[in-house]
Amino acid sequence: MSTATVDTHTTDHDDHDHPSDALYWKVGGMLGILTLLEVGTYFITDDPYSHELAPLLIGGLLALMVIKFITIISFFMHLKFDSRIFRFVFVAGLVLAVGVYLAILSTFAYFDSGYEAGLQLLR
Amino acid sequence: MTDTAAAPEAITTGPAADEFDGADLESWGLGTNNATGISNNKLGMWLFLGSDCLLFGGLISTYLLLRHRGEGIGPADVFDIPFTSVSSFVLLMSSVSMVFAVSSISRGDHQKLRLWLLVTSMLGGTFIAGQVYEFTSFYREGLGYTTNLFSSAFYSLTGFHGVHVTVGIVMLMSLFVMSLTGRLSEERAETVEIVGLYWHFVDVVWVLIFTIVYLIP
Repeated sequence: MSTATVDTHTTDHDDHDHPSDALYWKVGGMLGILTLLEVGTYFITDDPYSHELAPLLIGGLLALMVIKFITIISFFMHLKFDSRIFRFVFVAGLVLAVGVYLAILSTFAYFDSGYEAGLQLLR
Repeated sequence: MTDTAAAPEAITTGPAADEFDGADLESWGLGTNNATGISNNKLGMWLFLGSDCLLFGGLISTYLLLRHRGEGIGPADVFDIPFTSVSSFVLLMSSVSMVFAVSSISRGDHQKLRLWLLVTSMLGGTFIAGQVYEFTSFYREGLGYTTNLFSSAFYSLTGFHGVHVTVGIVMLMSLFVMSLTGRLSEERAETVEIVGLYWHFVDVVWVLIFTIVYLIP
């Protein structure tokens, strides 16, 4: 196979335009504001589970966490602008991790009574 | 045997081994995979980060399982949310300074590169100092590593993250020294970008830890 043949099959370059510095400042500012919003919930209550607005507070905190996560990997890590292969590699690891550990957590939740009984025996 | 002996000559098309200085990877065909057109080094870092998701996924899951199992001191007794919020903000801002470091080297502005690398390292160092202070104060309140299941899971998770930040600071300082000694040319801007990827990942993991561990105790 000649080099020329290989080059014609090049399909997915990672030569890309990175965001401007102005956009980085905006994204950084937005992330700062989102963090302030997150911390603000602590001043409403330090125990979101027992608050009457628990679903709103916990759902809001999780939503803010996901927005910050996606913003950082998209803009700061350039996943939005880079090759799709990088996106696939990272998202594959992420999905695998979330899937595996959700399954494990579900399993533990299901067998929770057995775990407690085991602890009682140990005591 | 004759074919085997001839093979290295056929494969090696780059400069002679004694001419290789590590910087001119393209001429060796090592920098970029021609079939995909993407950088092998960057792909390697993304693969590492993808696998690191599993490490932190395991640690976070373990924490979620064990946080209420322990007897005695619990999360609500020791956490100082305002203090940790400031630490989180510092680490978040270090991500912003890191993107400016990457941006500076891509423009060939080495002075600004060194400035932003130093700022990022100092912000990372501040975060680590905060973590050391936090761990020390928790220990003084009676929460040792083996006090209960919560403490073991908490220290393992946040400790592993702290080690990642520390490794990141070492990498940033290495880049700083390389730049000072003129070994970080614009052609090697990708090296800064790859270290940047690692640094942002460490930040993004803290985004998860801060919410899951501290804000939703």
